[in-house]
Amino acid sequence: MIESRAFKVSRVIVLTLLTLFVLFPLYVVVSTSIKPLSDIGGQFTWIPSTITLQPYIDMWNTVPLLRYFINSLIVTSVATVFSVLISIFASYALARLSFRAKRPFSLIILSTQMFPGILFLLPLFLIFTQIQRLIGLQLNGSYLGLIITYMTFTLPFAIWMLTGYLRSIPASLEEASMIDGTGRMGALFRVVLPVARPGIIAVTVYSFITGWSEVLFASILTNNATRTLPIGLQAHSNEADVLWNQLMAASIFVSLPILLGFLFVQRYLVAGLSAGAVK
Amino acid sequence: MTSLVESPEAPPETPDAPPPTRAHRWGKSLLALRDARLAVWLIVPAAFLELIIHIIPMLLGVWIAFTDLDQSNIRNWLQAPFIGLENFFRGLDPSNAIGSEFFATVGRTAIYVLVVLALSWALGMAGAVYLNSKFRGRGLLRTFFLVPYAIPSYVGTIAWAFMFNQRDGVINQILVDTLGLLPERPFWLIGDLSFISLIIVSVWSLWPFAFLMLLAALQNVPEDVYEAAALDGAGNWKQFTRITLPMVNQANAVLVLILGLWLFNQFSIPFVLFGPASPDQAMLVSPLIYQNSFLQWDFGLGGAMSFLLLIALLIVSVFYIRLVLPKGKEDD
Amino acid sequence: MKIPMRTASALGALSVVAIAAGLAGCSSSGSENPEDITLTWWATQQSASIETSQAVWEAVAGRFTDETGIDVEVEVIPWADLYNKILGAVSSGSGPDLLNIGTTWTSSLQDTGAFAPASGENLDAMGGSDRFVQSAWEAAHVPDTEQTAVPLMSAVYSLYYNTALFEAAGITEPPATWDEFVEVGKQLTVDTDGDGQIDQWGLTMPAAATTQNSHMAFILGQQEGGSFVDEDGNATLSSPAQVEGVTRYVDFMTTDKIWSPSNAETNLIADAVDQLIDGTGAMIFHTNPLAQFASRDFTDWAIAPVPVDEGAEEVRSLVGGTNALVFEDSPHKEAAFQLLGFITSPEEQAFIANEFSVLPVVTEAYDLEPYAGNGDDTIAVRQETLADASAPFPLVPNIGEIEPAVGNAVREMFQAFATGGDPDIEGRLQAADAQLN
Repeated sequence: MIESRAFKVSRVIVLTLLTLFVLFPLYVVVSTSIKPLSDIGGQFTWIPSTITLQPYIDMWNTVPLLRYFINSLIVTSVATVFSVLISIFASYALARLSFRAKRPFSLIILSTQMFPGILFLLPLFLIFTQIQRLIGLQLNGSYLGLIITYMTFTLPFAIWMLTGYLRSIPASLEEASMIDGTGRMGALFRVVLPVARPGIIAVTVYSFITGWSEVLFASILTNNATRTLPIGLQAHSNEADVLWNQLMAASIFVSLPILLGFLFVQRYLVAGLSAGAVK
Repeated sequence: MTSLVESPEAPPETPDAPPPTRAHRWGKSLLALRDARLAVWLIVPAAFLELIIHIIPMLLGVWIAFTDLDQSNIRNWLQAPFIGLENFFRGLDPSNAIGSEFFATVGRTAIYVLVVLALSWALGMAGAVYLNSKFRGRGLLRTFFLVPYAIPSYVGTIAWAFMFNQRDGVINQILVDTLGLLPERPFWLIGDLSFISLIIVSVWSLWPFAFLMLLAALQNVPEDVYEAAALDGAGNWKQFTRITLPMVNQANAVLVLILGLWLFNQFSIPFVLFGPASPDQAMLVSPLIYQNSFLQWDFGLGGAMSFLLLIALLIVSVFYIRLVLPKGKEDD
Repeated sequence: MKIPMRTASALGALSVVAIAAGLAGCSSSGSENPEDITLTWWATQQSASIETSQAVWEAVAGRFTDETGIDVEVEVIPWADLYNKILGAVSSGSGPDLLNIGTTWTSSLQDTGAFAPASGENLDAMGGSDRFVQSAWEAAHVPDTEQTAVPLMSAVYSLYYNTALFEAAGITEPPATWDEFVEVGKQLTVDTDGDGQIDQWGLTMPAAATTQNSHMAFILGQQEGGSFVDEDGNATLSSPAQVEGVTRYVDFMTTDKIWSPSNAETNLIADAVDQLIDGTGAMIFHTNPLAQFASRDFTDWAIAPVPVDEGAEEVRSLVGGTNALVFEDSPHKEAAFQLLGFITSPEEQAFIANEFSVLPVVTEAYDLEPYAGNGDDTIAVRQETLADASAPFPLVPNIGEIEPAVGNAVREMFQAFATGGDPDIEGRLQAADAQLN
């Protein structure tokens, strides 16, 4: 895109304002994480009177952060990979193929987004318990239960988003590939996916973040050994005391993997090949 | 050369195709059959998971709405007595906690959804367009903008609660002490301003998500279309409205729909910002239902109210889909 | 090779029985070898750090295993998740053997029928109930039912105050009546830096906290002879006595003006404690701020009993703390009650109470090391309040509805006042009653 002067000026203004808007609370988080507890109660101070890194050390002992981190990593990564794969297949079918169940299917999975989570909670727990009783597969308090749950929860949005996304990719790409003899699946993998990479990356980030920060189902489907990070964060706040600085420090730690991962992956988000490939 | 008058999606002129022969039709229906079978395989994993983890629990949740499931029979929940529409009547009864506030709260939630959606979309689109253009440091800025969405919403909301604190918070410090805009420190977490605080915190947490999805959607617009338009004399704004917006329409429409649904059921942000009980002026429908049913083990009531919402949202969504999402290339 | 019919049907019958037994869980625990039992125990988080609580409960459990050979798996559940987890356990029948809960949840949980009665054999396995502090034991007993909850730790409200501020204002004695309290409060409500704004207040409490509001409404209402419910279980939140009690509390902010209106948005008790520590507030009602004082190196504090007027009911606190329940579906009920008996033995009570700065529920523990003589000056005041001046929070099945109803009504009174409106105490309490009845 050729950028006019006005565009460049407006870019600076808008991006600066956005940066300030995003930065403001983040500054509060970071500065609180390096304050001693006595500093945090009263009037907010921009510059801490004493800077201490102790919260970053203590936070490992307040809750078993490392264990929670590993649990979250395992559950979220596996759930994300499978969720994205399954939604790619389903979205492709919805975007390109015609079959009778298409409308009902899309509408039904959309309807799952209209129901509050708490209503799923009990029935899901009960179903897992029954499965455990019937075939001995442990779903409550195991990685598997949480993985399957997260995998499924991110499907509706991922499928809807990817379907819309794939629809805006011209079908001529695959048709050209199929004329070359690759068949539908070959066309999907060879031609469509590379072009759809930004959409897939966006959906992967969504799935990961959703699993990484999910609290309600983690509270009921995990036990001591499998507990995940968001529960650990919440546990900081209780009637005995609230360790604000450690909470902030822990939350920075919790967000780092996502941010580092995204920093690496974001360039593929915009590396989209132009549709010049058709020519 | 495409001109800006026609839609950029208008296909190029094709020479007249020969009329389909019988072999053609055979081949086409074979392809269709193979496609249909392939479609089944592609859908099956998603359908299976959705059925067990989402649909069946949801149906159970709906069934609960018609029973009087509460703490006294939760142990044998399968045998909870069927009481028909009683929960619905009880919930909508204006003399009880939910009923007296229900319609007002639904209205307030609708306003909340529209405002947060509009603002988040606008910010997300602005961010996406500007960060799609080339300049140094855009990778870092893209990552930075993601932070409010990447950081657990629990913590981000707490940071805002600190900032909005009436006596000690930095927002009142700036407004009253530094800038002298207001004579007295207003309350942001109770009272009339609480609705605005809720909106601000929600937009802050959500706009990066819109930004992410819109940035991905923008990639479908090929560079040369912009170049052609620029050569035609279209400025950046015109390029945005005539090229960008129409081409991301599909992805956009889906984003708006699903964000709208999520916002309608918003629970965690008010819970963390205001505590377990929201001030009246900022009460949304999900917290209202939760506090007056689930929290008291009154699952039948909670289920019934949620079911009502489900129906309402379903109707709205179907209208929306008919209106906004074109049928596309489907043959159904 | 054909299997003869009789053998086949015998095998079939055997396998059905085996499967049924496997599906139904284990046989009754009476004949089990202790070494084969592993109990699951969901304990509560009593400290700022999960790890601390885990270590303490595991120490207790470890000693139990040493003594009986029964293994115990301890899981500390953060309070925010406890409700969800109990819900899952009760509805599915798949949960722990032993469970800790807050005392105020006792009657609603008992109403689910999911918990084993603490009577008969179970009570024997536990070692009887004579050793308990009577007020704690009775507070766990829902009237006209079989008791299921067993007290584990007690907590009562007291008045904690900032001694440095008291000294600076020349106040030598903590207030004993409410008139004195308001008097002292006014003396302590000052503008310390002369900028025209009051920055030190007599009282600091989280006025937006449903829990604390309901607790104070209870205590002050009881002092006037009022109650949340009458004998028939109807809510009486707007009875004259209750209204008086609540009015006293709300007046601290609205008419006596010893309590900052800024606190109308404070919903965490820990935030109010912070205000006491940094000198923004001089007095607070709390069950146990000692850990928070310690973590901020705050030592200028002292304790006093909650004030009571001459001639009023001497109720200075509700009986708070933690109770324990054994799941009815547990296959190891006897062992679970044994564990419960162990946790409520005087030695373990002394250990636990010392670790968490709570009150033991067993009278002998008060004289045992390491609790006795641990230098905690608050024990005497709190013990007396627990033994002589506390009342059980209403033990009715719908307490889960009543507590938030009154807590929110009071919260709204403060919020209305702080934003320029009318607290309308009686009106709001009447509305709460209407919704409950």
